[in-house]
Amino acid sequence: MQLTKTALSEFTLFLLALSVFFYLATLSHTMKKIFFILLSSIIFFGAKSQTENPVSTSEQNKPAKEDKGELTGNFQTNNQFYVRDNKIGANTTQYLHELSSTDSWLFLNYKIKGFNFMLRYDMFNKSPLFNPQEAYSNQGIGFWQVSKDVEKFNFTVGYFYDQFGTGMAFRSYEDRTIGIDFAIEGARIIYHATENTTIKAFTGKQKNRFDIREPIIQGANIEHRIAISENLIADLGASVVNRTIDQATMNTIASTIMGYPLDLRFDPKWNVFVGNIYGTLHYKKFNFYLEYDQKTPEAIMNYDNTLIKKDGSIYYTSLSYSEKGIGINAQFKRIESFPFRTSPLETQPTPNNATVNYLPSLTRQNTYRLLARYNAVVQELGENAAQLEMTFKPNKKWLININTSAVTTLNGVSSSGYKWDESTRLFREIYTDASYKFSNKFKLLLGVQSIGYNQQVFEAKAAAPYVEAITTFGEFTYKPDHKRSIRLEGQYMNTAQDLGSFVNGLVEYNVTPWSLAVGDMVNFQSGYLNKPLVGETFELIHYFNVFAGYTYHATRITAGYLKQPQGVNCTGGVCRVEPAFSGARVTLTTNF
Amino acid sequence: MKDLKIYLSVCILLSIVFSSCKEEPPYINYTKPQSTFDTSYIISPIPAAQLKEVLIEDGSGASCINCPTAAQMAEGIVVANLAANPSRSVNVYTIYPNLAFGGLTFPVNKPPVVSKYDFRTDVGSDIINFVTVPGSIPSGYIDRAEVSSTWFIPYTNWSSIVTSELTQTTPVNIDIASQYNSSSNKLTVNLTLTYTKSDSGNNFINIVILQDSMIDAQESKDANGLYFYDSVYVHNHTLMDMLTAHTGDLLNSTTNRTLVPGRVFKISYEKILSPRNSSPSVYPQPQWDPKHLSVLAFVTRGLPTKYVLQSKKVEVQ
Repeated sequence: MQLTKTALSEFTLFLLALSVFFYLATLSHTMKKIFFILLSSIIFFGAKSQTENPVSTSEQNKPAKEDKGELTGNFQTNNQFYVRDNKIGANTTQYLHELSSTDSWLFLNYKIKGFNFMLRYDMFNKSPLFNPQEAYSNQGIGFWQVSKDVEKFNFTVGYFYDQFGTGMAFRSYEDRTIGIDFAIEGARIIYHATENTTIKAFTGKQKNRFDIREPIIQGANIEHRIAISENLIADLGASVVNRTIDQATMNTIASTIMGYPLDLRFDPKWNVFVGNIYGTLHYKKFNFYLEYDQKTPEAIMNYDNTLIKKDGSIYYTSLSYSEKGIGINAQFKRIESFPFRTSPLETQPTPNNATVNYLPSLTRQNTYRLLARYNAVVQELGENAAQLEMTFKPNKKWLININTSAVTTLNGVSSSGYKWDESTRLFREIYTDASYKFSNKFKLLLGVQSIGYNQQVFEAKAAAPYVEAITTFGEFTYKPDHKRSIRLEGQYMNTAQDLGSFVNGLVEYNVTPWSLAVGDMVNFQSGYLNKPLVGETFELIHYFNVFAGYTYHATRITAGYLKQPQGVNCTGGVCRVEPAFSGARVTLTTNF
Repeated sequence: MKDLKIYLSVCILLSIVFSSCKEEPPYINYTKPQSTFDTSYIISPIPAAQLKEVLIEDGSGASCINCPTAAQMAEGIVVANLAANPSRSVNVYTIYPNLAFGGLTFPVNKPPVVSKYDFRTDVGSDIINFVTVPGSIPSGYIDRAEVSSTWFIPYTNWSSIVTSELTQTTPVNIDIASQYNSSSNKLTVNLTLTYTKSDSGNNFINIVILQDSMIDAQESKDANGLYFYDSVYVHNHTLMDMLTAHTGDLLNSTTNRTLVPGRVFKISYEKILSPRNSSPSVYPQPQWDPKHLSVLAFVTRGLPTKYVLQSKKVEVQ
């Protein structure tokens, strides 16, 4: 490869940054803090001095414009104030002792001459974010990164987020809403070999709050596009990911195994490899996706909380068709023994703790409060999942959505066929909605959802029966002008299991820049888990909420007072069980 | 053509990655515990708890200049404790691991001073690998207590940690007796473990065989701090072998063997003291000397703590 002179000097700069990175790896945590405070000061004041220096007209007219860099960023703070409510189970440590909590993030990004410097300061005060049962307090540099484009290469050191394909082999990501920050601290190279070919490789360790997890993760991925004919294009990819356990973790694993009866003991593996191949065929209006993932044998945590040695696999396929007025998507996925963590022992405090990959859920991601009450947590030890989605838009006024999905244990689908009974059923949903646009001002949506939910499996509630719930819902929107809108939504959920039946209503009024809402979700009928004792009567439980939001340019402030029941909180298919909430939330987000 | 080159490069890279897939697994003990008798029951009333005895595991080496100082430090702690608390002991044993530590564990080879024996044992290495490998020796574990996020403790700090550990209580009493039958070369150890308090998690019994009074070469330093090779150094309470796995044998191996007050484990171990390896290329292992044998039993918690709950040492009769 011929490097230009500029590229060479930039490459030298990058090597310098790389040397700094490796030097930093040897520093103590305190020294790292000092370094980053200095680095952020340089970035901040460097940018400030550049913006404050007046530039004359003659200088502006110079043909070669100097790259003075660009500083951007954002800030987010979430504050919660806890009001104990034993009736709904809002009585974790924050309600008893701390009474409030704050989570804040300040992110800075400075770009200059092809370099990209990122820095994020995180603060958690008395926070339940990482573990809903804990009040966690700490603050410091939560993310930093230096990256550089050198011709067809991109070099990155520090923390980075990335994923290979769908993420089932490797995904490093952040999801603040459920306390996930699985950044990798290490080095990564991306090589755009041709316009149709990209190769990535990385090595590093997974972030764990303000620390790192010791096992090493490394991997490589290649993606390539082939235009077979004018109508047939193939996007192909393959990855390999390796995780190596450190000595201390292996000692714990070995000791755990030696606590088992002789016939259950096995040799754990230091290394596990995950490989996958995947591809999408685009033919006219059809898209066909196929992926296969294979994991070499390693120690995994079984259902009974003991370690076993097993290999794993995933089959995933989807077929979609879309044209004007119609869209159809069918998906199927089979997961067998595919937990992939930095260590098989890292299963607490949440089920997705320390995961190296991401297993997407093949169920609908609902937004209405009661429709989103029951979510299918992906079963990494084994599941079959299928989903069919259809969208019809016969004309400009009508829009119809139909969705159905089903998830079973591994035995639910076998060579002998499909089996749906008490031993195999995990989740099913049948959903449909239809919206009609009366005019540009009025819109009405009506729908119904039927859910089947295995609460024993998803929420580890041993005595809970299988939940069958039917929910009808509707939404009415009136938009008198482009500045104002009123939205009414309501849902009625009927079930005899779990906490019983609920009704939820919400009125939302938006008048730029304000947004106001008031709602109430009422548990009006008891279910199996909250049946009143003999001689007692069931009392209505209100989960009301009041909300106000204000937007000023790129800044948004919200304040709300709400109550919500315990349940599974999911974003993007990644879920965790969260305790009930009662209290106030104040948030602020801004971009600059 | 360019694409082909890329694919070939990736294939070569992957083959390199997978060609290094052979790995050595960690030690997993697949053998049945070597105990010849093992029974458990609950007694009442619950006996009084023994005083906590503290265990010092001294990681040492024949070519380690500071190791004699550490051994003296341990001996001093034992003697001082015995004077202050005649009813209980501080127990010490020395591990010569088969780990290099920059050559500090190698037998002495400085003619005219040359080691007669190689005291290093694989089981010693296993113990150190299991508990935590220190950066160097001399270093030791005091009751395998975690101090400042580590288990190995520099010998200069042993005294203060021992003092702290002596204030602890133990949930398990150890009664131990050992005999050697010279006609059959059989060593027998009879143990009675009695729980006076509950303990959670897994507990393990560990038994090490120690030998005293072995005179051999040792790197050392004189009163002026200058190094010299001592050809008549006395190696005491040296780890020779273990009767249990190096991680210990699990006590509560079945659900009915709960660690509750009154729980008694009666366990016996036997071992034929066969001649040790006397013809290695350079240094032979020291042979068994029944007159100077002792056994040390200690009960540990499982990982992650590894903590020693109680220890007892007895001379072999």
